[in-house]
Amino acid sequence: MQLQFQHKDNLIVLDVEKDGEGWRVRLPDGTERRIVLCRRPDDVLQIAEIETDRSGERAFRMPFARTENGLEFSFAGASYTFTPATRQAGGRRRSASGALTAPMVGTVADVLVQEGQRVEAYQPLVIIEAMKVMTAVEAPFAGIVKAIHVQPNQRVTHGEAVAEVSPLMEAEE
Amino acid sequence: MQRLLIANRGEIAVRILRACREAGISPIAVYSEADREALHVALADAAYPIGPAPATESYLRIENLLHAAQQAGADALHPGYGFLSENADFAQACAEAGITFVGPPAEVIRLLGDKIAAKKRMEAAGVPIVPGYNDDDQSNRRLRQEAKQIGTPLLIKAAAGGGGRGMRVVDAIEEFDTALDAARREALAAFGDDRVLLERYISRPRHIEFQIFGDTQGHVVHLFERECSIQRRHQKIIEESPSPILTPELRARMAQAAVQAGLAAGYVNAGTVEFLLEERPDGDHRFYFLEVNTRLQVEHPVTEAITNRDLVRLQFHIAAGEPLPFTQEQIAATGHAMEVRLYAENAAAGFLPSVGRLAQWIAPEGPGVRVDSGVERGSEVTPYYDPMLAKLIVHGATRAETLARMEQALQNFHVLGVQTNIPYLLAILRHPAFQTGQLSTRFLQEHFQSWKPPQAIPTEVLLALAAEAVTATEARSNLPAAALDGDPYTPWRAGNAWRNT
Repeated sequence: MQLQFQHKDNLIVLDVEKDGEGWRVRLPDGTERRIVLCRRPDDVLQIAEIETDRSGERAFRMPFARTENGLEFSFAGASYTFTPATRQAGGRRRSASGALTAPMVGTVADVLVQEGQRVEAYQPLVIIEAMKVMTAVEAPFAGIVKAIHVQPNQRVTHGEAVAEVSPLMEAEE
Repeated sequence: MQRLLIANRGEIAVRILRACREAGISPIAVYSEADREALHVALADAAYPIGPAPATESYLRIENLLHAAQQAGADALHPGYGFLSENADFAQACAEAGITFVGPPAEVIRLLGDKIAAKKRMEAAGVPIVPGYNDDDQSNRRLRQEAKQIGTPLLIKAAAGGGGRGMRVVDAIEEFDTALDAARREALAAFGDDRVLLERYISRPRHIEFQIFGDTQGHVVHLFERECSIQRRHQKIIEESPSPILTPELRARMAQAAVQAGLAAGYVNAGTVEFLLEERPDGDHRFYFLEVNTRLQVEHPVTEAITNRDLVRLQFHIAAGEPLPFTQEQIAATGHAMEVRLYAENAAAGFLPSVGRLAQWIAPEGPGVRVDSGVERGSEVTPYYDPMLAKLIVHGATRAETLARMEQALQNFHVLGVQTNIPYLLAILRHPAFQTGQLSTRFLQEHFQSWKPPQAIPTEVLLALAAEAVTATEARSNLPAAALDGDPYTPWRAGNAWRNT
């Protein structure tokens, strides 16, 4: 069985075959491992890796959770989130359209520009505050503010449209 | 003190609550609409709603808190840190309502909260201060003139400030006007006060603070230092004691200055005297008074670990009007302690706060390991408050032992559902400059400006991913077959959680 996952911008392919009471897993680096899943409650996996040349095994535990972010694992001081490969195939696309969205859930602390105003590249347009942290939504390039979709004190969610900037050349034409 | 209202939330509310239980005081909680299900609410003897989720409409509303205190019949109130903990009007309102405020008197908070007045008082008392300008003439012309006098780099700070807001570093005098406008705007938004002060910017200072305690009888003692040089945007993230740089001689001089500062302010209850330490190659390090924090610090457990004293219980004791239960000579420090602050944030994406439900929360255990948190598995991390999830404090015999213990503890801290700064903290702990104690408040800018979390996925994680994905698939599609094949070792068989070995 071939399993495909997305981790950040990378595609992870794992080949898994049943092998006795466990499985044989082929990792992306081409190596093959034999494992047995010893324990599978809904929060922590215990897995034993079988050493092929000896009778010993090396067990480890892996806290995990299925969340709206995907399948999350915690190991040795870091967490890893995997999503089905089909969902984001091709990786992240960077929008150059000038349609700017809120980078996080928060409150609009300030709107610094007006519609129709000319702005420079990286000029802060809107300030969003979350947990006392101020984050500026900046113009991606020099241009004209086509639209401002928010007002001060308004709550915004992640990805919500905040402002629109059209490139200077296009706007001048 | 019989019933104490905790005017706070999160880990510090839980911390104070535990001290109340031990002291036989009945703890009362308050909560905003976002905190109805919070841990501190469930642990208290009674809990009172104080308003909507935004802090400005709940935890920062003096009248709501006093109303709750009166409803509850509370005779004392602990403000925690943050929110109204350093608000003199709040302390005064409590006193006027006949409620014991667990902290310094209002006039002390007022004096020390005004950075300009505080510096003048300290200067007069012989406590060393950084050269700068802190006067009432706030005109652009005067400030610019003073800035030229002090020279660059210089620091613009909010007179009423704290936590780094309203703070700007000016590297060249041409940038001064722009930076001044920005600092004033931020100060006005954060504190409702746009007055600023200027001071010489020490480019690579260490941040070293002393815990002090004063009683109503006029005694002031110190409980040693904490070094908090590891800061990101002026927010401390790692604190430790003893400071790796202090010699017994320098420690004694700084401690004396800290006690002097406390006496000069007529200090009562727990406070922290912050200093900047300027390292000099000849070893003749200079220290300058920064400010006094008139509250229990976030990092107070570091001091608790090395002195083996409960600072919150001590606060109760002082608030009840009792004298300090020990003299300076009776306070000793043992071993080395360190605290890291766990934040719900995405270090890989500009440290944006990360919100969501904690799908997994497993805290480390073991000798010398302490976790102070106000969350648990299933808790919702909302965008309304500070993103700190927990403090992890470890204590060991030496700094090396403490570092090793902290590294282990962090690796055994499992949080899923939100992003945390655990990988970032681990990378700092493992950095050679940190390991050898070469710290400064510029540490993160110098060593971690372009830090990215490691991209590689450990083999163990890939194996777990394979195991979990394949069993989930099997459980969905092959359940009847697996259940019927009679193989008791089939790990994905319904109800078979353990392998029979």
